[in-house]
Amino acid sequence: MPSIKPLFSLLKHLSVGMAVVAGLSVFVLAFFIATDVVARRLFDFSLQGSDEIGGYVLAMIAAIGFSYVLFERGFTRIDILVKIMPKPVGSVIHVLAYVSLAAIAIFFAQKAIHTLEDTLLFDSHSNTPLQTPLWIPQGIWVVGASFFAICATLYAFRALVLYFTDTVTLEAECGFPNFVEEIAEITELTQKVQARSRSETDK
Amino acid sequence: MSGSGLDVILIGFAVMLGLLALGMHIGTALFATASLGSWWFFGGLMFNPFGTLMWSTLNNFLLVAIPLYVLMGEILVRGGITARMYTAIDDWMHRLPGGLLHTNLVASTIFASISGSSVATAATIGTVAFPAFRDKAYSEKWVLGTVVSGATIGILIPPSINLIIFGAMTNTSIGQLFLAGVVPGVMLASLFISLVVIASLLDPTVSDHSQPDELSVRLRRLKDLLPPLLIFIAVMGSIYSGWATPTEAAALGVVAATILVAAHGEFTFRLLLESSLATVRVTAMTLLILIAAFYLNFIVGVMGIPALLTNAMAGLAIPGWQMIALLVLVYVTLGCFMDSLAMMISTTPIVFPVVIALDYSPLWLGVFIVIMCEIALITPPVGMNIFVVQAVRGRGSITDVIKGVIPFIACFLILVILITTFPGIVTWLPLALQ
Repeated sequence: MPSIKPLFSLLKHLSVGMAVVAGLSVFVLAFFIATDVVARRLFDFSLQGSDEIGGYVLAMIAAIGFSYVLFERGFTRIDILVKIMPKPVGSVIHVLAYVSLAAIAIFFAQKAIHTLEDTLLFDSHSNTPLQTPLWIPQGIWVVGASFFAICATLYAFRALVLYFTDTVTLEAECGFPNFVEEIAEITELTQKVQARSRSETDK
Repeated sequence: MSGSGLDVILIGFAVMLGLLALGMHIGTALFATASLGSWWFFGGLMFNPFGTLMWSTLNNFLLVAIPLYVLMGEILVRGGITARMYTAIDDWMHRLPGGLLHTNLVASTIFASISGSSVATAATIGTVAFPAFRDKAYSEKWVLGTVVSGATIGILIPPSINLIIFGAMTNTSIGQLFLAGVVPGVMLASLFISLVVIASLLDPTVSDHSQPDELSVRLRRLKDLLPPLLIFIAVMGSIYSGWATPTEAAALGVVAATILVAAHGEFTFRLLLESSLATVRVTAMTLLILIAAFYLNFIVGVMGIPALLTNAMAGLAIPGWQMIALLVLVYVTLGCFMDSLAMMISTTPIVFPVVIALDYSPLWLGVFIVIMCEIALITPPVGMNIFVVQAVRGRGSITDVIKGVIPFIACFLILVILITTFPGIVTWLPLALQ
């Protein structure tokens, strides 16, 4: 499947880029909420709506983050039984897992679009001092959910193709992730800090 | 609903476990189970509100605490706040019989409670601890056991993501749940420490002794304990002084963590990027399961299962402790095979009405389930912490780790017996501070 590969890699990079934006917005949100708490307490003044905006940010992380987690194979699966099954059965299961995930992603996106349609139809606003037109946060949600549906469908399709052409790659891309890398990262990080801290104490 | 409702629960649970065992994604398994029930009993009708339900789950300010606490933990871990803590704790702990083993336990407890991730805790403490034990005559089994078990305590001591999720699913106050976790968490740590002391006294080969550094060095190193303390005060203090809600406290925690890491000169753009990505990963992964779980919760509710269970419990003449013992058995068995978070989320809708009918408080149940999750993290064959510690160790057999953990499982069971007999252990602090 030479034609699908560039598209696949494009979506993957796009998902990382979107996840970075979502992640940084959590950081900004934290400072926004903290400012609100301090201002409310010390100056009797509130920025208004930090809770509402927080909710929108959460919806955004979820919708946008799903495709990132998909490519990282971060959605948890339980491997105990599958690991002891014969390899061919395992391959079928990997395909099934990603096909069913795609089905759910499509269902989620469809329902999200319906919700947005209702919002537009009734021109709904949030029931708060901000009076946010709900189509804005829900629009971002729908974009994220649709992107997830597209990525998940493509991922499932690729799994299916790999099942017939290359089961080794299937295992590598749709099997259970190996968390040794993640741990190696933490280990390396920790050792560096420790070395620095030791040199500080010795000074 | 026709027939016995209990059949429906059993069939539903069997379907869910079957899908999980088949290696489907956890969100898929929960959602498929809920959809099956929904379609079987209501046709397409109950799929209509799904969109709105999904939006309200995602837009829930209580759950905003999840990414914020994850981000706080990531910044602290990547900023190296924890790695520095280990030696400072050791300075003061190693006089106890068991020496460095206690350092493992205390460092893991503090670290896990602020980082919120038992995987990161086990990996970090393991990395710092294993070299510290090199050239010393400690029993390796105990070294491994203390790192694995110590890393679990954090999900009970606030802030705890498991307790936030439990609170959001059952409409229980998260602030109160946090308080409820404190005493049992400290008790568990004390049980672990007592176990190590007793084992070291009975069997001298368990631990080794070493000379402490001179006092001035130890005092200077005390500053490394300040950051975790400040974080804890910023988060818990702001909740209980009424300054902030648990979610707002999480935001304060992120700011405090940023300042502390920046003060060490370790706050880089790379750290921010990596922490942000990790936050999105954990949050999105959890939220997919939560969307499915809230739908399952909703379907279970409209099917009238909570009322049915409450009535069934009233008709059942078995004493509460027997029911709890049964639950422990079920959870320990499930925990051997299931991911701990998935286990908590999928069982809460069913177990909640049962335990409330037995006159235990929701706070008690929250703490109980989190303790069950902790056991799940360390019971073979699927105890996450066991794998992580083995991976950090990078040699020998995983059996050594499992052997090391077994004595600590006994401590968990003692804790469960204590809180079941004296539920006040859990509810006392939240009531006292109300």
